[in-house]
Amino acid sequence: MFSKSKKVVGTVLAAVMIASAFAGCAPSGDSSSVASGSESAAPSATEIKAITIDEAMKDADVALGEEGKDSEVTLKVWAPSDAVDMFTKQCKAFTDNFKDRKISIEVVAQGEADAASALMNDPDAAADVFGFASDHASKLYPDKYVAKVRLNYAAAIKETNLQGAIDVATYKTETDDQPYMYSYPETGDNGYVMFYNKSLISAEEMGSMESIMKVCNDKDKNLVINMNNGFYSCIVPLTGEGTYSLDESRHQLLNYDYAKIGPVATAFSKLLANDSHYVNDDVDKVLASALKNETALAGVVGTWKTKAIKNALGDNYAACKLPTINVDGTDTQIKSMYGYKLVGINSKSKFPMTSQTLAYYLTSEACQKERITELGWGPSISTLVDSDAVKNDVALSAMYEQQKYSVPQTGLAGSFWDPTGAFGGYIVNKDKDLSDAGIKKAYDNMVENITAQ
Amino acid sequence: MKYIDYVQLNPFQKMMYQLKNFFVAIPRGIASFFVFLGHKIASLVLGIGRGFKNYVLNFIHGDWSTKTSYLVMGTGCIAKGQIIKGIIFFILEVGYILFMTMFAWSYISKFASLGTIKTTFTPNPMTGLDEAKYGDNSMLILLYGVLTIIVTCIFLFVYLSNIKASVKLEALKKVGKKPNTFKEDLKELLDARYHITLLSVPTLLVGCFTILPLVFMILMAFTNFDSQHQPPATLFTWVGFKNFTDIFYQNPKYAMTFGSLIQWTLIWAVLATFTNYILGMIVALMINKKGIKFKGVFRTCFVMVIAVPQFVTLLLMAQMLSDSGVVNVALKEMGLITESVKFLTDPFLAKVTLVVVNIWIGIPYTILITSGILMNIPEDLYESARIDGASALVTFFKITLPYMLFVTTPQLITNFIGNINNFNIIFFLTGGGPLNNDLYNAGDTDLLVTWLYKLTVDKNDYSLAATIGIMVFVICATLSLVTFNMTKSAKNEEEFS
Repeated sequence: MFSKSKKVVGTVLAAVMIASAFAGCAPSGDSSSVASGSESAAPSATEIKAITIDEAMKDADVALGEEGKDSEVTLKVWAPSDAVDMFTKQCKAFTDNFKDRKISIEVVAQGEADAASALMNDPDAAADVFGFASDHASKLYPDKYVAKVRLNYAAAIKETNLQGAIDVATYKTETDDQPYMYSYPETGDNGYVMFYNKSLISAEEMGSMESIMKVCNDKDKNLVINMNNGFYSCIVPLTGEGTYSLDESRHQLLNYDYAKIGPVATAFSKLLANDSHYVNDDVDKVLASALKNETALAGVVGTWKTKAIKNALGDNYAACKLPTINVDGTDTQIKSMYGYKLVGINSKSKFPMTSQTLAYYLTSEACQKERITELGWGPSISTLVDSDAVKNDVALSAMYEQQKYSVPQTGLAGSFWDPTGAFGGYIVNKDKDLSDAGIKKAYDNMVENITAQ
Repeated sequence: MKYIDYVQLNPFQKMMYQLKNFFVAIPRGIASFFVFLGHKIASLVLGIGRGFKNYVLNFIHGDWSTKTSYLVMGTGCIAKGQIIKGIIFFILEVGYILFMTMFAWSYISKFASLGTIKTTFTPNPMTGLDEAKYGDNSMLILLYGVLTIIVTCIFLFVYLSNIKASVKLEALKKVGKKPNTFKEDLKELLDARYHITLLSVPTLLVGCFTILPLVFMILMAFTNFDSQHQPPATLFTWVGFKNFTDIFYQNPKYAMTFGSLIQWTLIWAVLATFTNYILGMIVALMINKKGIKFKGVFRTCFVMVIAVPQFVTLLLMAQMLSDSGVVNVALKEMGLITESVKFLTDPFLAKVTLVVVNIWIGIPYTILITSGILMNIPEDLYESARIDGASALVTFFKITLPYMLFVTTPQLITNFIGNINNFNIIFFLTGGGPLNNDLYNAGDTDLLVTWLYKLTVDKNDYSLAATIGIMVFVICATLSLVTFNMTKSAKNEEEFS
């Protein structure tokens, strides 16, 4: 009926169509979720025996249970690319410690900023143990993408770490009877400080916003603060003693009082909006180069830029806590948001015990100490914060100085950032209505957007 | 208006007249589309009714084996000698029943509520670890529910063809013909019915990998799958048309955002498409002009822009145009400005910047596409125009543009739709900024697609994003169908010479 060639062409076309239907299929792991576990009564505090990291590392049965006795334990760890070598080394120390168990650990590069979304996209293919920044905590905890910290380990962690770090690691989900720890504190320096060129401005002059701006104008240099980004511009509500939290269904609650925040916003606005030596720009991109070519003398940026700024400024490199600002005649210390980095356990991990103990080990004092010297990561363990290694590091000591005037980065919904950034951008933009009424309106707009259901 | 009146109008009036006709035709176009849809639906309903009548009649008039094959598939075929075909029907029925009982029932039965049992985590005091007791997963229920519905539709088709086969065999028997053997059936599939052999597998796969996800996404718009309802830990459920009413009027903030973004999206699409088109054509004309030397060099210069990956160009531009970027610093050094020009941070200026940068990246493509066509326009047309004393401008509007429009209108429409969904340039250049608290999770330069992206990635607001996706689809589909059907290229295809 049909000629042969037509048949061949038809067959090829059909094959192409079949092949195209498979485009976009990537191999993925077994995604079946099986009901498991027996119903057990909620444990009372007395039943849980606290285990320190030293105890865990000594006894494989305590640390790993049955895992790795008969079959091999294979774990995947995510670490930022510049820290892969460090983590590989520390993971090797971990496996060497449990020689009688079969454990193999693969460390894969994955930036902390994207770790949370990568995990949420495909939990089955994601790492067992991974680092993430505290701003992603509110995405990971409530939906149990991460497992609770093993109850036996929590007590020791709470004893040794900074309170802020514990706060961001702790959460009470809808189904929890009490707040639990959902991650292991890894660093205590995920915040921002003021970096400056000490040949252009002295440490005393860095003490207040007013004196900084005076020096800027005298020397025709700029101050760079990114008020368009909620992470930085939240200094306005926080300096006005605002706090935040989440309600049961994860809506953002703001404990803001305009009577206190309004004057702070006005102070920032009056000082910066009409001053051409204040630059509102993306500090991550521009600050290092602006400091290098001396168009700027100071700027606020996160500690992840420390290395770049150190290179840019050379001998003139200096850092300090955020300055004060004059609000209605009183010098008020600027408060900032303070983040931490945490290590989480994928709740779909096939080897929960080994993952938990590995995370416990990686965030222990010994490992954190190694990372201060090798990577410049600020510790979350209190005793290390007071150590010489931290005191000798300009950025880290400024960071921990600022930590006293900070609010931990926890209890934030995704809706917090953009409106806060928009408000910050508004009050320093001289083209906007910066009268009291105008600022009040922008503030109301921000609050409405953040708390919108 | 009669033709004689029309030719007496001045060019501007002519344009207004054409424009008027265009907009007058839009409602008619849309109306005829719905009339067409209505006819189709009516004939579908009638067809179903007819099928149902036949279904009952066949049962009444059929012999015993036809009657049993209403319940046990394949008995009709087996009784009348087509044993293998009958067995295949029977196996398919058993397979479907197994599929339903073993797998699909647990999902499809919860389809109406999308699950009611929550996942719980209980700490085990022995190990100190949480133990999960997984409840319903709304997303899987939705996904497998859709799959089950599609499988059921296919099964229904098989079921009906089982009855049809039996009835057909009965008729054959009556006239005394022998039914096909299985071998003959197979042979037929390789010859007379070869198209079925070829297309069955692709159709099945297109169903699985294209239609299933599409239906799944569309259904998502009718749920409350947002940041507060994330499976597996929490459940989501149906909310009907709430998301749609929200973006139109129910939720003032959403409605405001949707309204202002759709305005900007359309303005952007028009500007981005036509600036590129006209300016690209003019540059191509200039390069093609007689007497211009080094044509190849000029063309290469423009094509170089294409050689650099677009996002690299855009990220570089974003750096250069930022408030303390190279451009501002250079302008300040030269003493032209004292304050930074807010290329990307002022709502209006950012929009202008976007259009200009888009021209820069887009023109080379137009040059490449139009150069060939321009060279194809018969030279004698221009010659005679010159003899008649037409100026360059007149020849452009009377000869070049009509000729180009005739050939490239479909491409123009594709470009327009592409620009409605132009994610790259907005995302990399301004990121949708500057932020604007009057809008919901969007900035001044956000298009509907970049808003959609922000809603899914930043806010996990999938249901709202699906709703916007549907709206974007409706806008694109309507615009492209209506405009394409009104173009000359679609109306008189044969006229092209």
